[in-house]
Amino acid sequence: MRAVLFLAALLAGCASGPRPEEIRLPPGFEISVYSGNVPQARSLALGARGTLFVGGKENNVYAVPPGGGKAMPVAGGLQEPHGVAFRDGALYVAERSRILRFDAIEERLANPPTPVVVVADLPRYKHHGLRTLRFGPDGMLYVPVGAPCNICLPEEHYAVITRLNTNTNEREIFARGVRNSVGFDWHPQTKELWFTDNGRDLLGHDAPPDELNRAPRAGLHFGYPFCHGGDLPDPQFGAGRPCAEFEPPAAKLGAHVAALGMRFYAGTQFPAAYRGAIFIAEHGSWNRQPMSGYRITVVKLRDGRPASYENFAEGWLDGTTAWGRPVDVIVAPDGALLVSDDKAGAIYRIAYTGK
Amino acid sequence: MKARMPLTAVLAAALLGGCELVSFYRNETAGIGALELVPLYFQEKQYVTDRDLEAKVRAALAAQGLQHVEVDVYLKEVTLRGDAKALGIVRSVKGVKAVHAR
Repeated sequence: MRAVLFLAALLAGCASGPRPEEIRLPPGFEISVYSGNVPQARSLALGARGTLFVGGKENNVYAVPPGGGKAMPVAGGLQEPHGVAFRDGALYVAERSRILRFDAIEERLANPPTPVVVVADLPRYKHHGLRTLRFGPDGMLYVPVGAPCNICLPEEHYAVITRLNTNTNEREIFARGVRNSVGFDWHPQTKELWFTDNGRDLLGHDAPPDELNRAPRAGLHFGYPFCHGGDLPDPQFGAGRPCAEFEPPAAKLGAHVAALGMRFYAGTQFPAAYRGAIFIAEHGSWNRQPMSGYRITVVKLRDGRPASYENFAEGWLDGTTAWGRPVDVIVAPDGALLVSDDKAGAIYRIAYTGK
Repeated sequence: MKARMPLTAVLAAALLGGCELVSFYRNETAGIGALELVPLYFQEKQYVTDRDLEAKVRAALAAQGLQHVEVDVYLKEVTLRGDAKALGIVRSVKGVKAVHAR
Protein backbone atom coordinates (compact mmCIF):
# COMPACT_ATOMS: atom_id res chain seq x y z
CA MET A 1 0.00 0.00 0.00
CA ARG A 2 2.83 2.41 0.87
CA ALA A 3 4.44 1.71 -2.50
CA VAL A 4 1.17 2.49 -4.29
CA LEU A 5 0.77 5.74 -2.36
CA PHE A 6 4.35 6.71 -3.14
CA LEU A 7 3.91 5.97 -6.84
CA ALA A 8 0.69 8.00 -6.89
CA ALA A 9 2.48 10.90 -5.18
CA LEU A 10 5.35 10.61 -7.64
CA LEU A 11 3.10 10.71 -10.68
CA ALA A 12 1.02 13.53 -9.22
CA GLY A 13 4.16 15.44 -8.38
CA CYS A 14 5.45 15.04 -11.93
CA ALA A 15 2.22 16.24 -13.55
CA SER A 16 2.67 19.37 -15.56
CA GLY A 17 0.43 22.42 -15.44
CA PRO A 18 -0.67 24.69 -18.26
CA ARG A 19 1.98 26.90 -19.88
CA PRO A 20 0.06 29.20 -22.22
CA GLU A 21 3.10 31.44 -22.59
CA GLU A 22 4.72 28.65 -24.62
CA ILE A 23 1.95 28.46 -27.23
CA ARG A 24 2.67 30.06 -30.60
CA LEU A 25 -0.25 31.54 -32.53
CA PRO A 26 -0.75 33.55 -35.72
CA PRO A 27 -0.38 37.34 -35.33
CA GLY A 28 -3.29 39.02 -33.58
CA PHE A 29 -4.31 35.99 -31.49
CA GLU A 30 -3.82 35.53 -27.75
CA ILE A 31 -4.15 32.51 -25.49
CA SER A 32 -5.00 32.42 -21.79
CA VAL A 33 -6.07 29.84 -19.24
CA TYR A 34 -9.87 29.67 -19.08
CA SER A 35 -9.89 27.10 -16.29
CA GLY A 36 -6.69 25.78 -14.78
CA ASN A 37 -7.58 22.76 -12.73
CA VAL A 38 -9.66 20.37 -14.80
CA PRO A 39 -8.09 16.92 -14.41
CA GLN A 40 -8.05 14.85 -17.60
CA ALA A 41 -10.06 17.47 -19.51
CA ARG A 42 -11.45 15.84 -22.63
CA SER A 43 -14.62 16.52 -24.63
CA LEU A 44 -16.38 19.91 -24.45
CA ALA A 45 -20.02 21.02 -24.61
CA LEU A 46 -21.65 24.38 -23.93
CA GLY A 47 -24.86 24.77 -21.98
CA ALA A 48 -27.60 27.20 -22.97
CA ARG A 49 -26.49 29.60 -20.21
CA GLY A 50 -22.84 29.44 -21.20
CA THR A 51 -21.64 26.79 -18.75
CA LEU A 52 -18.81 24.76 -20.24
CA PHE A 53 -19.13 21.03 -19.54
CA VAL A 54 -15.93 19.01 -19.66
CA GLY A 55 -15.81 15.24 -19.97
CA GLY A 56 -12.95 13.31 -18.40
CA LYS A 57 -10.94 10.14 -18.88
CA GLU A 58 -11.25 8.89 -15.32
CA ASN A 59 -14.41 9.40 -13.21
CA ASN A 60 -15.61 13.01 -13.23
CA VAL A 61 -17.43 15.48 -15.42
CA TYR A 62 -16.76 19.16 -14.67
CA ALA A 63 -18.61 22.42 -15.19
CA VAL A 64 -16.80 25.72 -15.77
CA PRO A 65 -18.85 28.90 -15.23
CA PRO A 66 -19.51 31.28 -18.14
CA GLY A 67 -16.43 33.37 -18.78
CA GLY A 68 -14.14 30.80 -17.17
CA GLY A 69 -12.85 30.20 -13.68
CA LYS A 70 -12.86 27.34 -11.24
CA ALA A 71 -14.18 24.01 -12.50
CA MET A 72 -16.58 22.12 -10.26
CA PRO A 73 -17.42 18.43 -10.54
CA VAL A 74 -21.03 17.82 -11.55
CA ALA A 75 -20.82 14.05 -11.89
CA GLY A 76 -18.49 11.50 -10.31
CA GLY A 77 -17.95 7.79 -9.97
CA LEU A 78 -18.37 7.26 -13.69
CA GLN A 79 -16.40 5.06 -16.05
CA GLU A 80 -14.31 7.18 -18.43
CA PRO A 81 -17.00 9.84 -19.02
CA HIS A 82 -15.26 11.33 -22.05
CA GLY A 83 -18.29 12.39 -24.09
CA VAL A 84 -20.58 15.28 -23.25
CA ALA A 85 -23.46 16.89 -25.15
CA PHE A 86 -26.14 19.39 -24.21
CA ARG A 87 -29.73 19.63 -25.41
CA ASP A 88 -32.99 21.07 -24.03
CA GLY A 89 -31.46 21.85 -20.67
CA ALA A 90 -30.00 18.37 -20.17
CA LEU A 91 -26.41 17.23 -20.08
CA TYR A 92 -25.74 13.91 -21.81
CA VAL A 93 -22.64 12.03 -20.70
CA ALA A 94 -21.11 9.02 -22.44
CA GLU A 95 -19.34 6.44 -20.35
CA ARG A 96 -17.72 3.50 -22.07
CA SER A 97 -20.90 1.41 -22.20
CA ARG A 98 -23.65 3.83 -21.11
CA ILE A 99 -25.14 7.18 -22.00
CA LEU A 100 -26.58 9.15 -19.07
CA ARG A 101 -28.81 12.23 -19.00
CA PHE A 102 -28.70 14.89 -16.25
CA ASP A 103 -31.87 16.96 -16.56
CA ALA A 104 -32.03 20.72 -15.93
CA ILE A 105 -28.33 20.60 -15.15
CA GLU A 106 -27.55 24.31 -15.31
CA GLU A 107 -30.17 25.01 -12.64
CA ARG A 108 -28.64 22.38 -10.37
CA LEU A 109 -24.88 22.60 -10.75
CA ALA A 110 -24.31 22.59 -6.99
CA ASN A 111 -26.69 19.71 -6.45
CA PRO A 112 -26.82 17.70 -9.68
CA PRO A 113 -29.72 15.31 -10.25
CA THR A 114 -29.48 11.53 -10.34
CA PRO A 115 -28.93 10.69 -13.99
CA VAL A 116 -31.37 8.87 -16.24
CA VAL A 117 -29.78 5.95 -18.09
CA VAL A 118 -30.49 6.51 -21.78
CA VAL A 119 -28.37 3.69 -23.22
CA ALA A 120 -26.73 0.83 -21.32
CA ASP A 121 -25.48 -1.57 -23.98
CA LEU A 122 -22.58 0.10 -25.74
CA PRO A 123 -19.49 -2.12 -26.05
CA ARG A 124 -17.56 -2.53 -22.80
CA TYR A 125 -14.00 -2.97 -24.04
CA LYS A 126 -11.43 -0.37 -23.10
CA HIS A 127 -9.66 -0.29 -26.45
CA HIS A 128 -10.99 2.77 -28.29
CA GLY A 129 -13.68 2.85 -25.61
CA LEU A 130 -13.94 6.61 -25.09
CA ARG A 131 -17.26 7.73 -26.62
CA THR A 132 -17.78 11.14 -28.12
CA LEU A 133 -21.32 12.56 -28.17
CA ARG A 134 -22.99 15.32 -30.17
CA PHE A 135 -26.47 16.18 -31.32
CA GLY A 136 -26.82 16.63 -35.06
CA PRO A 137 -28.98 19.15 -36.90
CA ASP A 138 -31.48 16.28 -37.35
CA GLY A 139 -31.94 16.15 -33.56
CA MET A 140 -30.28 12.73 -33.33
CA LEU A 141 -27.50 11.92 -30.87
CA TYR A 142 -24.39 10.77 -32.74
CA VAL A 143 -22.07 8.26 -31.03
CA PRO A 144 -19.03 6.71 -32.70
CA VAL A 145 -17.99 3.23 -31.59
CA GLY A 146 -14.34 2.61 -32.42
CA ALA A 147 -12.69 -0.65 -33.40
CA PRO A 148 -11.73 -2.77 -30.36
CA CYS A 149 -8.23 -3.22 -31.76
CA ASN A 150 -5.51 -1.59 -33.82
CA ILE A 151 -6.43 -3.53 -36.94
CA CYS A 152 -9.04 -6.30 -37.12
CA LEU A 153 -12.36 -7.11 -38.73
CA PRO A 154 -14.74 -6.81 -35.79
CA GLU A 155 -18.50 -7.36 -35.57
CA GLU A 156 -20.62 -4.83 -37.40
CA HIS A 157 -21.43 -2.70 -34.37
CA TYR A 158 -17.76 -1.66 -34.10
CA ALA A 159 -15.83 0.82 -36.29
CA VAL A 160 -18.99 2.82 -36.94
CA ILE A 161 -20.73 6.08 -36.21
CA THR A 162 -24.18 5.39 -34.81
CA ARG A 163 -27.06 7.78 -34.21
CA LEU A 164 -29.81 7.56 -31.66
CA ASN A 165 -33.28 9.03 -31.50
CA THR A 166 -33.42 9.97 -27.81
CA ASN A 167 -37.24 10.07 -27.87
CA THR A 168 -37.78 6.57 -29.23
CA ASN A 169 -34.39 4.99 -28.38
CA GLU A 170 -34.15 3.77 -31.98
CA ARG A 171 -30.57 3.42 -33.13
CA GLU A 172 -28.95 3.00 -36.51
CA ILE A 173 -25.51 2.89 -38.03
CA PHE A 174 -24.82 6.13 -39.89
CA ALA A 175 -21.31 5.42 -41.21
CA ARG A 176 -19.07 2.35 -41.38
CA GLY A 177 -15.37 1.73 -41.78
CA VAL A 178 -14.47 4.34 -39.15
CA ARG A 179 -11.57 3.12 -37.03
CA ASN A 180 -11.87 5.58 -34.15
CA SER A 181 -13.52 8.97 -34.51
CA VAL A 182 -13.21 11.28 -31.51
CA GLY A 183 -14.42 14.46 -33.18
CA PHE A 184 -17.16 15.51 -35.56
CA ASP A 185 -19.27 18.48 -36.53
CA TRP A 186 -21.77 19.52 -39.17
CA HIS A 187 -21.04 22.05 -41.90
CA PRO A 188 -22.93 25.20 -40.89
CA GLN A 189 -24.50 25.63 -44.35
CA THR A 190 -24.77 22.18 -45.94
CA LYS A 191 -25.44 20.37 -42.61
CA GLU A 192 -23.18 17.54 -43.80
CA LEU A 193 -21.32 15.56 -41.16
CA TRP A 194 -17.54 15.92 -41.11
CA PHE A 195 -15.39 13.84 -38.78
CA THR A 196 -11.81 13.01 -37.89
CA ASP A 197 -10.59 9.43 -37.85
CA ASN A 198 -7.40 8.04 -36.33
CA GLY A 199 -5.33 5.91 -38.71
CA ARG A 200 -4.01 2.49 -37.75
CA ASP A 201 -0.67 1.93 -36.03
CA LEU A 202 2.38 -0.14 -36.94
CA LEU A 203 2.63 0.71 -40.65
CA GLY A 204 5.61 3.02 -40.23
CA HIS A 205 6.19 6.55 -39.04
CA ASP A 206 4.64 8.26 -42.07
CA ALA A 207 1.64 6.09 -42.88
CA PRO A 208 -1.26 5.96 -42.88
CA PRO A 209 -2.55 9.53 -42.52
CA ASP A 210 -5.19 10.43 -39.99
CA GLU A 211 -8.30 11.44 -41.88
CA LEU A 212 -10.74 14.29 -42.14
CA ASN A 213 -13.88 12.79 -43.66
CA ARG A 214 -17.11 14.11 -45.06
CA ALA A 215 -20.34 12.10 -44.84
CA PRO A 216 -23.05 13.87 -46.85
CA ARG A 217 -25.47 10.98 -46.28
CA ALA A 218 -25.95 7.84 -44.23
CA GLY A 219 -24.66 4.47 -45.35
CA LEU A 220 -21.14 5.33 -46.53
CA HIS A 221 -18.11 3.14 -45.75
CA PHE A 222 -14.83 4.90 -45.04
CA GLY A 223 -12.49 1.97 -45.60
CA TYR A 224 -11.36 0.52 -42.26
CA PRO A 225 -9.93 -2.12 -42.00
CA PHE A 226 -9.52 -2.65 -45.76
CA CYS A 227 -8.13 0.65 -46.96
CA HIS A 228 -6.46 3.61 -45.23
CA GLY A 229 -6.30 7.22 -46.34
CA GLY A 230 -8.24 6.48 -49.51
CA ASP A 231 -5.36 4.83 -51.35
CA LEU A 232 -3.39 2.55 -49.03
CA PRO A 233 -4.65 -1.06 -48.98
CA ASP A 234 -4.19 -2.71 -45.63
CA PRO A 235 -1.48 -5.41 -45.85
CA GLN A 236 -3.64 -7.87 -43.91
CA PHE A 237 -7.20 -7.03 -44.98
CA GLY A 238 -6.82 -5.10 -48.24
CA ALA A 239 -6.67 -8.01 -50.70
CA GLY A 240 -9.82 -8.27 -52.76
CA ARG A 241 -11.28 -5.04 -51.40
CA PRO A 242 -9.92 -2.24 -53.60
CA CYS A 243 -9.78 1.26 -52.16
CA ALA A 244 -12.14 2.42 -54.92
CA GLU A 245 -14.96 0.65 -53.03
CA PHE A 246 -14.71 3.11 -50.17
CA GLU A 247 -15.22 6.78 -49.47
CA PRO A 248 -11.84 8.58 -49.59
CA PRO A 249 -11.01 11.20 -46.95
CA ALA A 250 -11.79 14.83 -47.70
CA ALA A 251 -8.28 15.62 -46.43
CA LYS A 252 -5.30 13.58 -45.33
CA LEU A 253 -3.97 14.79 -42.00
CA GLY A 254 -0.58 14.01 -40.48
CA ALA A 255 0.28 10.38 -39.81
CA HIS A 256 -0.29 9.40 -36.17
CA VAL A 257 -1.05 12.97 -35.07
CA ALA A 258 -4.15 11.64 -33.25
CA ALA A 259 -6.67 14.08 -34.71
CA LEU A 260 -9.42 14.23 -32.08
CA GLY A 261 -11.93 17.06 -31.54
CA MET A 262 -12.95 19.24 -34.49
CA ARG A 263 -15.39 22.10 -35.06
CA PHE A 264 -16.33 24.44 -37.83
CA TYR A 265 -15.62 28.02 -36.88
CA ALA A 266 -19.08 29.57 -36.91
CA GLY A 267 -18.17 32.63 -34.83
CA THR A 268 -17.43 36.15 -36.02
CA GLN A 269 -14.57 37.17 -33.70
CA PHE A 270 -11.80 35.63 -35.83
CA PRO A 271 -10.74 37.23 -39.15
CA ALA A 272 -12.71 36.33 -42.26
CA ALA A 273 -10.09 33.81 -43.41
CA TYR A 274 -11.01 31.55 -40.50
CA ARG A 275 -14.80 31.72 -40.79
CA GLY A 276 -16.20 28.39 -41.90
CA ALA A 277 -12.79 26.74 -41.43
CA ILE A 278 -12.34 23.55 -39.39
CA PHE A 279 -10.23 23.62 -36.24
CA ILE A 280 -8.77 20.26 -35.22
CA ALA A 281 -7.19 19.28 -31.89
CA GLU A 282 -4.26 16.96 -32.53
CA HIS A 283 -3.58 15.05 -29.32
CA GLY A 284 -0.15 13.95 -30.52
CA SER A 285 1.54 10.74 -31.56
CA TRP A 286 2.41 7.99 -29.12
CA ASN A 287 4.65 5.78 -31.26
CA ARG A 288 6.08 7.96 -33.99
CA GLN A 289 9.55 9.40 -34.36
CA PRO A 290 9.81 12.32 -34.54
CA MET A 291 6.78 13.00 -32.33
CA SER A 292 4.04 14.88 -34.18
CA GLY A 293 0.71 16.56 -33.48
CA TYR A 294 0.40 18.21 -30.05
CA ARG A 295 -1.14 21.25 -31.72
CA ILE A 296 -4.29 22.85 -33.11
CA THR A 297 -4.51 22.83 -36.87
CA VAL A 298 -6.93 24.56 -39.19
CA VAL A 299 -8.35 23.25 -42.45
CA LYS A 300 -9.67 26.05 -44.64
CA LEU A 301 -12.31 25.20 -47.22
CA ARG A 302 -12.84 26.52 -50.71
CA ASP A 303 -16.05 25.64 -52.55
CA GLY A 304 -16.87 23.20 -49.79
CA ARG A 305 -13.61 21.26 -50.13
CA PRO A 306 -10.41 21.42 -48.03
CA ALA A 307 -7.98 23.88 -49.60
CA SER A 308 -5.26 24.04 -46.93
CA TYR A 309 -4.12 22.31 -43.72
CA GLU A 310 -2.08 24.59 -41.47
CA ASN A 311 -0.73 24.91 -37.95
CA PHE A 312 -2.79 27.27 -35.83
CA ALA A 313 -1.55 26.80 -32.26
CA GLU A 314 1.59 24.87 -31.34
CA GLY A 315 4.05 24.63 -28.48
CA TRP A 316 2.59 21.83 -26.32
CA LEU A 317 5.54 19.72 -27.49
CA ASP A 318 8.91 20.86 -26.18
CA GLY A 319 11.55 18.81 -27.94
CA THR A 320 10.72 15.26 -27.00
CA THR A 321 8.60 16.19 -23.99
CA ALA A 322 4.95 17.07 -24.26
CA TRP A 323 3.74 19.13 -21.32
CA GLY A 324 0.18 19.26 -22.72
CA ARG A 325 -2.06 17.47 -25.20
CA PRO A 326 -5.06 19.15 -26.89
CA VAL A 327 -8.21 17.04 -27.02
CA ASP A 328 -11.18 19.13 -28.09
CA VAL A 329 -12.11 22.56 -29.39
CA ILE A 330 -15.35 24.48 -29.18
CA VAL A 331 -16.40 27.97 -30.23
CA ALA A 332 -17.52 30.06 -27.25
CA PRO A 333 -20.51 32.40 -27.53
CA ASP A 334 -18.15 35.39 -27.91
CA GLY A 335 -16.36 33.71 -30.82
CA ALA A 336 -13.21 32.71 -28.92
CA LEU A 337 -11.94 29.17 -29.33
CA LEU A 338 -11.82 27.03 -26.18
CA VAL A 339 -9.36 24.14 -26.10
CA SER A 340 -9.20 21.24 -23.63
CA ASP A 341 -5.89 19.67 -22.58
CA ASP A 342 -5.98 16.33 -20.75
CA LYS A 343 -2.30 16.29 -19.83
CA ALA A 344 -2.00 19.75 -18.29
CA GLY A 345 -5.59 19.49 -16.99
CA ALA A 346 -6.72 22.82 -18.37
CA ILE A 347 -9.04 24.70 -20.68
CA TYR A 348 -7.50 27.49 -22.76
CA ARG A 349 -9.17 30.41 -24.48
CA ILE A 350 -7.79 31.61 -27.80
CA ALA A 351 -9.10 35.02 -28.80
CA TYR A 352 -8.43 37.42 -31.66
CA THR A 353 -7.43 40.84 -30.43
CA GLY A 354 -5.71 42.13 -33.55
CA LYS A 355 -2.72 43.28 -31.50
CA MET B 1 20.53 8.73 19.53
CA LYS B 2 20.38 8.39 15.76
CA ALA B 3 20.00 11.56 13.68
CA ARG B 4 16.96 11.18 11.45
CA MET B 5 15.84 13.29 8.52
CA PRO B 6 12.30 14.55 8.83
CA LEU B 7 9.90 12.36 6.89
CA THR B 8 8.77 15.26 4.72
CA ALA B 9 12.38 15.92 3.67
CA VAL B 10 12.84 12.28 2.74
CA LEU B 11 9.61 12.28 0.72
CA ALA B 12 10.49 15.55 -1.02
CA ALA B 13 13.94 14.27 -1.97
CA ALA B 14 12.45 11.02 -3.25
CA LEU B 15 9.84 12.93 -5.21
CA LEU B 16 12.41 15.20 -6.86
CA GLY B 17 14.67 12.28 -7.67
CA GLY B 18 11.73 10.29 -8.94
CA CYS B 19 10.62 13.12 -11.19
CA GLU B 20 14.09 13.28 -12.73
CA LEU B 21 13.95 9.55 -13.30
CA VAL B 22 10.49 9.69 -14.86
CA SER B 23 11.55 12.63 -17.02
CA PHE B 24 14.70 10.83 -18.13
CA TYR B 25 12.74 7.69 -19.00
CA ARG B 26 10.13 9.67 -20.90
CA ASN B 27 12.81 11.49 -22.91
CA GLU B 28 14.66 8.27 -23.69
CA THR B 29 11.51 6.52 -24.86
CA ALA B 30 9.77 9.49 -26.51
CA GLY B 31 8.01 8.51 -29.68
CA ILE B 32 8.60 4.80 -29.27
CA GLY B 33 5.34 4.17 -27.50
CA ALA B 34 6.94 1.93 -24.89
CA LEU B 35 4.61 3.13 -22.16
CA GLU B 36 1.48 2.86 -24.27
CA LEU B 37 2.09 -0.34 -26.21
CA VAL B 38 1.78 -2.77 -23.31
CA PRO B 39 -1.68 -1.69 -22.06
CA LEU B 40 -2.94 -1.46 -25.64
CA TYR B 41 -1.76 -5.02 -26.29
CA PHE B 42 -3.62 -6.33 -23.25
CA GLN B 43 -6.76 -4.31 -24.05
CA GLU B 44 -6.88 -5.77 -27.54
CA LYS B 45 -6.15 -9.23 -26.18
CA GLN B 46 -9.27 -9.05 -23.97
CA TYR B 47 -11.48 -8.60 -27.01
CA VAL B 48 -9.76 -11.30 -29.07
CA THR B 49 -9.82 -13.81 -26.19
CA ASP B 50 -13.53 -13.23 -25.62
CA ARG B 51 -14.38 -13.68 -29.30
CA ASP B 52 -12.42 -16.94 -29.43
CA LEU B 53 -14.18 -18.12 -26.30
CA GLU B 54 -17.57 -17.09 -27.68
CA ALA B 55 -16.94 -19.20 -30.77
CA LYS B 56 -16.09 -22.20 -28.58
CA VAL B 57 -19.21 -21.69 -26.44
CA ARG B 58 -21.46 -21.40 -29.48
CA ALA B 59 -19.94 -24.54 -30.97
CA ALA B 60 -20.50 -26.46 -27.74
CA LEU B 61 -24.13 -25.32 -27.58
CA ALA B 62 -24.75 -26.06 -31.25
CA ALA B 63 -23.40 -29.56 -30.76
CA GLN B 64 -26.22 -30.11 -28.23
CA GLY B 65 -28.89 -28.51 -30.42
CA LEU B 66 -28.93 -25.32 -28.33
CA GLN B 67 -27.88 -22.84 -31.01
CA HIS B 68 -30.91 -20.67 -30.14
CA VAL B 69 -29.42 -19.74 -26.74
CA GLU B 70 -28.25 -16.11 -26.61
CA VAL B 71 -24.62 -15.82 -25.58
CA ASP B 72 -22.72 -12.82 -24.24
CA VAL B 73 -19.03 -13.13 -23.34
CA TYR B 74 -17.12 -10.41 -21.53
CA LEU B 75 -13.77 -10.90 -19.81
CA LYS B 76 -14.26 -14.67 -19.95
CA GLU B 77 -17.60 -14.51 -18.10
CA VAL B 78 -20.51 -15.92 -20.08
CA THR B 79 -24.10 -14.74 -19.76
CA LEU B 80 -26.79 -16.94 -21.28
CA ARG B 81 -30.45 -16.48 -22.07
CA GLY B 82 -32.84 -19.05 -23.41
CA ASP B 83 -32.36 -22.52 -21.95
CA ALA B 84 -31.30 -23.66 -18.46
CA LYS B 85 -29.66 -26.77 -19.92
CA ALA B 86 -27.04 -24.57 -21.50
CA LEU B 87 -25.50 -23.63 -18.14
CA GLY B 88 -23.88 -27.00 -17.53
CA ILE B 89 -22.64 -27.29 -21.08
CA VAL B 90 -20.99 -23.88 -21.02
CA ARG B 91 -19.40 -24.48 -17.61
CA SER B 92 -17.45 -27.32 -19.15
CA VAL B 93 -15.96 -25.19 -21.94
CA LYS B 94 -12.26 -24.58 -21.32
CA GLY B 95 -11.42 -20.96 -20.56
CA VAL B 96 -14.85 -19.96 -19.15
CA LYS B 97 -14.40 -18.14 -15.86
CA ALA B 98 -18.05 -17.94 -14.78
CA VAL B 99 -21.50 -18.56 -16.22
CA HIS B 100 -24.58 -16.47 -15.51
CA ALA B 101 -28.18 -16.94 -16.56
CA ARG B 102 -30.21 -13.89 -17.48
